[in-house]
Amino acid sequence: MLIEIEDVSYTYLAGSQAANSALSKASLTIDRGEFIALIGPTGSGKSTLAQVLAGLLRPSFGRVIYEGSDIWEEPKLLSKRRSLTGLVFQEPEKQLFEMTVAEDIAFWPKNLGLGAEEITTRAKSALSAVGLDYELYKDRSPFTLSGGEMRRVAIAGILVMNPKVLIVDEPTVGLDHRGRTGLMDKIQKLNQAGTSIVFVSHDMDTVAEYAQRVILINEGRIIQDSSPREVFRNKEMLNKIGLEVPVATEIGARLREVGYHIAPDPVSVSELEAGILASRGESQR
Amino acid sequence: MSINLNAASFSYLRPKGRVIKAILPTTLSIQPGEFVAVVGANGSGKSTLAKLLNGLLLPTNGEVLIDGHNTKDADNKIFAPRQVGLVFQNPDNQLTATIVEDDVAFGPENLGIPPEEIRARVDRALKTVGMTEFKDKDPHNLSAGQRQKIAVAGILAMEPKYLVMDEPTSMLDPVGRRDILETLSELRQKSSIGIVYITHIIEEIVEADRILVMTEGKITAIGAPREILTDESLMEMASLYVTRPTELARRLAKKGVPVSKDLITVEEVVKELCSLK
Repeated sequence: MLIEIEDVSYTYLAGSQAANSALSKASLTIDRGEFIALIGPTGSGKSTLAQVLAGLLRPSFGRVIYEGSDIWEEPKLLSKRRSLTGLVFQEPEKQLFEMTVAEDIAFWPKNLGLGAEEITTRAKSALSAVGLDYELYKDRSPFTLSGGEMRRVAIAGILVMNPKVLIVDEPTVGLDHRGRTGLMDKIQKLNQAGTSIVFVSHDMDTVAEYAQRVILINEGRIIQDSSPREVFRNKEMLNKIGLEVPVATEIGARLREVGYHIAPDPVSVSELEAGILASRGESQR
Repeated sequence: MSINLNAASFSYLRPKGRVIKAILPTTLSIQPGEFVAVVGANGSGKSTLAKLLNGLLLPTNGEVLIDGHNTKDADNKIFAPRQVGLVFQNPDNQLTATIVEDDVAFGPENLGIPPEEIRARVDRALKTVGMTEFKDKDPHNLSAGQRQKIAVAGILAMEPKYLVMDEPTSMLDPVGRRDILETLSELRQKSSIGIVYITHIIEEIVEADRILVMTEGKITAIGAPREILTDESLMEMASLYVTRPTELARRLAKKGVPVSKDLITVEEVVKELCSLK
């Protein structure tokens, strides 16, 4: 098991009048190679949970365990242990600050004291993982890049640490279609190469397309942890808390009401297409 | 009454005298009560266009007229942003106060509106975006999506005649997004507000009056949603995607199911498939 969190609670500004409980009694585990989507309404605690998983927020209660050891038990080992995970914040390009792409990507490895050669090797592979060529980009200023390129550079700046678990908080917000699919395909490739992915998103269609497991959070509590199909079966509850089901699931449900035999609940357009064709085939027989 | 761009262009000056032409000469008119969606790839000039429309940027050449008032006239420096409310892409660029309701009141206070009227407007705007219960909180402790809702409320409270919104729902959950769109639709009908709506999410704009496609600083196409969203080569060029209902309709039509391949909404697909039953 890579990560295990037990009964984790987190309160912002704990003890003050403005105390704001963002997470309560959350427990979950993350294994190698999983592709997990973290969904929930606006303000439900997704980003807080992402930061707890990444070892960046110390929970008010509960334990965060990386490969068997509690990361907050021995503060001395924290920074070393923390490199198991990498968190890409919302709009990470805002955190780019160096003069060149190469320097920006080298920032964290340099801090860890890695040698120049090792850093270059890692930077090359991190950039190539996000679909950018090191030689073409290394000397460019991050601020002359397009939005999609900047975001990829920012993600490479995390990948260069070789995290086993990559946590991405709404990575495609603000990107155009090409940027979005390009980025999601790169994330999927990383996953296929063995990196576990935690993907925070409001886009249920993308969640259905990529994730193998969905964690649903509402008002700081994990209320479901299962396959996309299981989670999206509960349309009424999702609507009530502010979420929707994928378009294919929605159309499938509406067609079932008028007598189409579509089963099991489709979550993608191809599943829905197959369901409609099969249902028509049956009725023509 | 309308916003008019008359051959308006905009260039940014970069170090070493480099000029970046963000908007090439553009002529366009936005009517009250109309919902105009703006789409296009990253870097195509959408956000620059938004800032030209409310006078935050002044055209390098040509002119922008808001109900006949030129944004270049010094007298209109205050008038323009009053008439044309701009909701930024990133809410943090417009949040000013440390309490939600103060933040929403900031705009109307600057307009010199009497306190009781401000009170009413703030309450109404917060209710509209579903943030009433957060009115005493510090926006900086809220989530990105909640801050985005507050930024929208702040502009709504100014009751502008036109609204220009730059990806105002990018961080919202699906229902929050739907609420904002429903609010906009009501504002158009009740108060004839003209809306310019920039987005990457095609599903949000299938019911727009017009969709305007931008490519490299130019308007390359303008038309009704069905016309634009079913034009495959245009969609590809502008980095737009085919919505899932359209994808489904095309796949089914290909397999010989008698449905139109130009459907763009869930409703249309459901309706056509129901009629086959």
